Amino acid sequence: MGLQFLYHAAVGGKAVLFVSFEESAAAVRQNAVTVGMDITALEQTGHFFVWQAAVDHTLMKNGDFSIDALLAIIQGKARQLDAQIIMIDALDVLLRVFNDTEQREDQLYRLNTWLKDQQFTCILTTKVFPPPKQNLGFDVADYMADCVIFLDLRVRQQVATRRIRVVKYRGSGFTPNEHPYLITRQGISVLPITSIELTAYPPPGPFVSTGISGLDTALGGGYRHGAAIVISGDSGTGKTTFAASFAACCCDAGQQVLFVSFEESPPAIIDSMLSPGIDLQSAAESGNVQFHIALPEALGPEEHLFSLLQKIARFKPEHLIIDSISACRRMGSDTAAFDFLVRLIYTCKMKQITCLMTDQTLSESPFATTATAAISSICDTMIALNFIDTGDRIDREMIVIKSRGTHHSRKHENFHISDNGVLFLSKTTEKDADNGHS
Amino acid sequence: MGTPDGFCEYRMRLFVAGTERNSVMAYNNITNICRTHLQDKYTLEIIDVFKNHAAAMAENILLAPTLIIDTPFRETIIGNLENEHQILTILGIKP
Repeated sequence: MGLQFLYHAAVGGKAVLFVSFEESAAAVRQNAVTVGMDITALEQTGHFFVWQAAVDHTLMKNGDFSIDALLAIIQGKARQLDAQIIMIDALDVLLRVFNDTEQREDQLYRLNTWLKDQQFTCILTTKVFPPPKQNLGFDVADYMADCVIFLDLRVRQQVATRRIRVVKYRGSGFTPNEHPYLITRQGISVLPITSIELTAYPPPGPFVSTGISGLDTALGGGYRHGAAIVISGDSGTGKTTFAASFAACCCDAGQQVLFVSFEESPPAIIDSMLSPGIDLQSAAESGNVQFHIALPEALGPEEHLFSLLQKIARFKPEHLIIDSISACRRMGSDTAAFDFLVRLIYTCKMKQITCLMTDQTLSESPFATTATAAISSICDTMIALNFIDTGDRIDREMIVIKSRGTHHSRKHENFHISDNGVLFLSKTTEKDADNGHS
Repeated sequence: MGTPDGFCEYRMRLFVAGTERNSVMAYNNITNICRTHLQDKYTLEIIDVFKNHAAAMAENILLAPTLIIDTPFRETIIGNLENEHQILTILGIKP
C-alpha cells in the first residue's frame, strides 16, 4: 500500500526514497512488478530510490546507542535525491535491536521529531501482533503519527478477506469503518460499501421485453432497463429458462448481456437451453452474450466483485444475469454474499445495467434464502416460481411479488416450458382490475 | 592520534552522529582506551554520519555510535563504549 503511494508520487514527478528493512531491493522491485508498478524505470530517472538497510542482529553492544545513523543516511540521501517522501518499511526489524520498550519509544520520539524538523512525509510500516505478544513500543507511534492505517487479513469459513481501517487522520473527515480491499495486478483497490450514495443513482429506464410475452403482460410491459430483478424458485421451476429467455431476447434486439454463472459452464448452459427452444449459441457467437464463470469458493467476495466489475467495465453490457445468487454464500458466509450482492446491485444501478438474478429457494416459502431476504429492499422486481400439484401432474406457476414502477399482475399465473420457450396459459391484460402497484 | 605511517596493529573507525550524547561518550571512551592501552600502534578514523552519509550507507551503519575494528580482525560494536573491559577483551589486550 505504501509502495503504491510512493510509486504514484514518483510517477507524478516527485522523488521518493524507500527504506526496506526486510526485503532486498530486488525483491521490492519484483513485488512492485506483480502489482503493475515499474520501479526500475523510475530509478533510472532518479525519482525512486530503494535502499535495503540490512539489520545485523548479531552486533556486539556496548552501552547506549540510537538510530541517528539511519536518520543521517536518510537525510543525506533524501537531500541528494531532493526527496520529500520517504517510506520506512518494517521499522520493527531495526527496533528489535533495542532491548526494552522504553528505548524503542525513545527512538520513535526521536524519529518523529526529526521527521517534523526535516518536513518529510513519511510512511512507516510495522507489524502488529495480537496480545499478549509485545508490539515493540509501537503503541506510542499511534499517538505521534498524523495518520494511522490498520490493515488486517482475516480468514472466515476458508475465505480470506483483507480489510483496511483508518484509525486516525488528523484534520480529515475520514470514515472510521473497516473496508475490504484487494491486491490486484493493478495495485490496491478499496471497495467501501459505505461510500455508496443512495441519492446518486438514476431511476430505472424504459421497459425492456423479458423475452416471454406472458411475463411482459404480467409485469405491465416487461422489466425496467437498469432495474434489479430477482427470480426465485425451487430447483427445476424454470429460473434459468426465464433468465435465458431474457438474454436471448436482448441479443435479438442488439443489446449486450453478461451472463454470470456460479454453477455451470457456458456449453452446459447453452445446451440446456436448447430443449426449451432458446438459442444462446448464436447470441454467444455474435458476441452479444458473454459468459463470466466463477466458482464461488475460488475467491473471496472482494475478488469476485473486482473481477466482475472489471469484466463489466471491459464488455459494457446493458444487462447482467446472475445465475444464481444463492451460490454467493459459498463465497464464505451470508455476510460475504450480502456484501457482494449489495455492491454489485448498486454498481449496476449506477451504470443503468439491468441486473437479473436467479435465486434457488430451499423451502416452501418464496424468498426464504438469506441472500434474497437481505437484498429484497433494493430489488425493483421480485418474481417467485412454484410447482403446483394438480393431482395427476405437476404444473408451474408464477407470482409477481413486487415490481416497482409497473402495473403488474397479482395473480398466480400458470405457465409451462414448451419447445418454444416459456408460455403463459392465462393472459393478463393491462386493464385487469386485479393489477397491483408497488 | 595514532601513527601516520608504518606498522599499525589496530585500525578502527568510529561512526558518530554529530554531537549526540552517546556519540560524544563513545569518542571519549575509545580515544581514552587508545591512548592508555594502544600507544602508537593504532589509527582511529572518526566519521560523522551527518557529514558523510555515503560512508555510513556503504558500511550499512544504521545505529550510532558504531565502532568498526578492521584489524587485527573485523568486529563491529554499537553503543557508547562505556564498558572498557569488553573493548580490551575484543582487542585481545585483556583476557
